[in-house]
Amino acid sequence: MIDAKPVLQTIALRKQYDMGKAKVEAVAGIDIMVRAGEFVALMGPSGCGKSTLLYMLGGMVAPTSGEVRIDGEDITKLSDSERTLIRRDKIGFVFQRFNLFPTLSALDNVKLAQEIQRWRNKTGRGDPNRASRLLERVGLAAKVDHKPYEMSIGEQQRVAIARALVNRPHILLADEPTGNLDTNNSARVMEVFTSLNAEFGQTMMVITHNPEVAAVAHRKIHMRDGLIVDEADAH
Amino acid sequence: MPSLVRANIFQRKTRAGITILAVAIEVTAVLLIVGLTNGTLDEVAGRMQAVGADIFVQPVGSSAILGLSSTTLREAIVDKLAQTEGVQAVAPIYFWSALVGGGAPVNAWGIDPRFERVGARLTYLEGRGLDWNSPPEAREMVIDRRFAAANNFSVGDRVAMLADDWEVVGIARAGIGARIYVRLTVLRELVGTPTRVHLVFVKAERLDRTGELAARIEAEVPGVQTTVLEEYSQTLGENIAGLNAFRIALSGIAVSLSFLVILLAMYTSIIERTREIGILKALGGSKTYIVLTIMQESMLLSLLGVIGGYVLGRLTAWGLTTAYPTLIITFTWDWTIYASALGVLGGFLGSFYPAIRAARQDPVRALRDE
Repeated sequence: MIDAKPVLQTIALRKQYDMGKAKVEAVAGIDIMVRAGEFVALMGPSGCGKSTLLYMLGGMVAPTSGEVRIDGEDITKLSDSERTLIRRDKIGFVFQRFNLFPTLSALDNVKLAQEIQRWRNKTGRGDPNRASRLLERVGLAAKVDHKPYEMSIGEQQRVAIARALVNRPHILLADEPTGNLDTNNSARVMEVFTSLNAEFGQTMMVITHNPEVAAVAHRKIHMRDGLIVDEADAH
Repeated sequence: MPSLVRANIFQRKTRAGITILAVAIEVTAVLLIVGLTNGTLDEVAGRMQAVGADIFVQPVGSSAILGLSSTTLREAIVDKLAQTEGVQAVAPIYFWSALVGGGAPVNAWGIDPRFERVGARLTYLEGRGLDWNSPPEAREMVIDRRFAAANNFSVGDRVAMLADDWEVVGIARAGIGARIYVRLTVLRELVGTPTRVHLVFVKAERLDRTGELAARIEAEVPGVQTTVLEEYSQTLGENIAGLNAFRIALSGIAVSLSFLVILLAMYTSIIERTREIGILKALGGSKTYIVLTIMQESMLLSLLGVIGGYVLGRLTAWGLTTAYPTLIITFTWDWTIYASALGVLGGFLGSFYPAIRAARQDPVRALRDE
């Protein structure tokens, strides 16, 4: 269910870090176009610039040069506050380490993202039942009141996925979402990703080292030394 | 209230408890400092006014705080005052700062039968009043109820004062004049100044002309100053140089301590929660959202501290006045509101910098924090 419309696009995107006197080019000029409903796997060795690229796509890292277009809007021209709003309204993040709030229950972790989205936002989508429906959808209906430390790591990652999706983001960015999971939990998480993509046309870009994860993506992008070295459609 | 604020308070109970306690102690300290100074001033003024006289006369240059000035008037001035037009009655007083019962010095007044003529009505709860006809060597003492309670004195007890042994002959209702009364002549003889007095109470013939009478006395009797008792409370406050500065300084110290504790608590909390702030930013939480979330948390803790401080202040005041019955602590609404505002201000200032610092964090670095 891939739409022709590009949701995410980068043009000559570069990121250079100053490490003392040395300059390290983490991303060395990348052009990517991701269409609505597409599931893209971003692969490559550690340190090749995948995470930097992902954080630039999410507006959390400012590029040295180039453009990041989300729904056609170049977010590199926006202020930090405006990029925060883009992130709030259009992007969902899933992290390798889940990044849940230890003091909140599964349901409250998901609702927190809604709370942030609704805060001073007249167009906020305030479906009060969406958080619990999503937790149900990822197989955690019985654990809504559990705190993260009361859940397995696989369950915690599924809470994080529900949180990333609760505000209906245009694009879901995931940084090695199965990196900390065993085979069974990885399979469950990937099943959630693929079904969300298939059923709802959720656009996704997932960083992974796992070939099984990459196998279910529509497209695989390989990076090395800050550049795309290979790009292939899976189907 | 955002779920995160609620969770942070209830899940981090020790930190929340310490912060609340810091604000509570600040509010308690301010309330007690002010309550004690106000209470003491009001009580002193009230006891002077309760004598029933309209004016008191002292040597010129004396402090309105009795006991701070050692200058005296000649006995002859008492007669001159009695003959002044518009004076109905006069009562000379000699006072002595007595160390009795091992506590703080307490004012003992030497009085004679004229004390009642200016309006003073001592009510005896136990025993009797001083016997004006007893021989000069008799050492009689009347004490008030608070002083008796503080020292466990009863009628018939022997009390050491001025290297002599005095018998408590009566316990009077508290609130009029001094805590200890003895005969004027006896006290002056013992101190060695048989013809001197410290002050003279004056009863005016006409209450509506008290001010006029005070001015006339100062004009006609050289070397004296007058204080109209109706204005004594205000005069007393004005005479205690730096009283407000003292209150403000101590309140400032209390606020500073509370501010520092809250700053430390919130700052360490922010450091501890660096990663969580990174998550909030990744979820699209704006700087304002993060600042307000942290501020809401500290404001809520401060409000709980203010309530706790009010309760703690009341309990401490009750404990102090029970243990030391001569202490008077007066809580006033204006200072209660002021102390509460200071408590909230301390919380606000203490959390502002940590909140700003949190909001400025780089989200990616924050997410990498271990």
